[in-house]
Amino acid sequence: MAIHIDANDIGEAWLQAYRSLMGAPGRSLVNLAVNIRDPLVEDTGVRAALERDLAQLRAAKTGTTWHSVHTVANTIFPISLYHPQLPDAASRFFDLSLAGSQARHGKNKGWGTYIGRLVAYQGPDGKHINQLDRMLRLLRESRHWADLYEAPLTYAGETLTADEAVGADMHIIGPGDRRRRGGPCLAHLSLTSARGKLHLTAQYRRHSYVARAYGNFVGLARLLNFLACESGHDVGTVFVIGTHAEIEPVPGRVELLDAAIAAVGQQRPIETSSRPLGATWSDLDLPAISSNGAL
Amino acid sequence: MILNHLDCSLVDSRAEGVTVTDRNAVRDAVIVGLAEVYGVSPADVEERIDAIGGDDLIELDSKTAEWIIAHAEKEFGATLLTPVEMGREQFATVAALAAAIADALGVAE
Repeated sequence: MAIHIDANDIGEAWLQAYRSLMGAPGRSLVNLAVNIRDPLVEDTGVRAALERDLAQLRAAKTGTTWHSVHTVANTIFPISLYHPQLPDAASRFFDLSLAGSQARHGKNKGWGTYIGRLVAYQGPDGKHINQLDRMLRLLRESRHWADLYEAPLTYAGETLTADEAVGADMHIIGPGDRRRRGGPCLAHLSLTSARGKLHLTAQYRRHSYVARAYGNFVGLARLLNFLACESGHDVGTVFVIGTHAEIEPVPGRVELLDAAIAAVGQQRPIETSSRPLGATWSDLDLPAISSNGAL
Repeated sequence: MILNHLDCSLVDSRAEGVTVTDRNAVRDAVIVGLAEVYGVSPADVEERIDAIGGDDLIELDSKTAEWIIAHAEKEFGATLLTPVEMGREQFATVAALAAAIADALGVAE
């Protein structure tokens, strides 16, 4: 069964999708499509309800690693590395993200991170391609093209010459990926430029709505904001397709839905760039849980 | 992403080429790395630290810490663990991260 959701902000989008999944057989759906009309706005009430639940799940040691919305969003767009007030902000962001990504090593390197695959995607020839840099150059140079940014039969960064772009969609999963479970779950990103606005579509092969979806929405919104601001566009919509979307089989799913519904109504702009030097970051951690499970 | 491995060491078994013997040198590397992330000078960072009240009051995001650790690895020729493998308390502030790196490199107090 396919479901389409159209929401004003990130919090409403997550809550509507979560509610649909709760009513679906097995709490999973094939092709859950979520449109977020204003992705730069969230509902901090809904987010807080989710993060209280994530903290409880972490404390319960369910076998899954539960992270804050901030941490999940950072895998797509590491917000502390973007300083738009500085000259060459985009280049600086790429350099910092690339250095951090390349420094990942050892037992937890795994498949990397989404931002790592966006700034250093390994093509079929083994060369690494900065997909975000390529995308920005196309957006800056070809603003009259609405749909240049899709070419699903090409591979990321495929060119005829060094300067001529054939395809400019962004790939996360490559030809060498054969993992049946685990990351990367985000498969593909595409952009559409229309009437001065930049819109982002993301396709997930599997989208988990407790552990990941809210943080992914925030990360995608920040990525879209970055690409739009750095190319002279306004921010459009974020459209997320989960070809297989699910609510994970962990306790407390109905309680989370009730808590999120009760908390609706605290719309706030999301942060889109680094906080100032010396500002706190600890407020973005999951709330602390005491030994008896209380917040 | 952050794991709560409270007892994990910052340095992994492949550390090599460690020559630093001064904890101040480690702190300096952290300050330089932080300055590069924010696009300011190390003096600007020191000024901000003084204004706020000390190294233990300058909080770091995990991605900033990841970049600073990468910078320290180049500086000292060692392979260090990343924030994903550390407890948050080991990189939450400038003071914590500098201490964790110094300890990992075996620099005496």
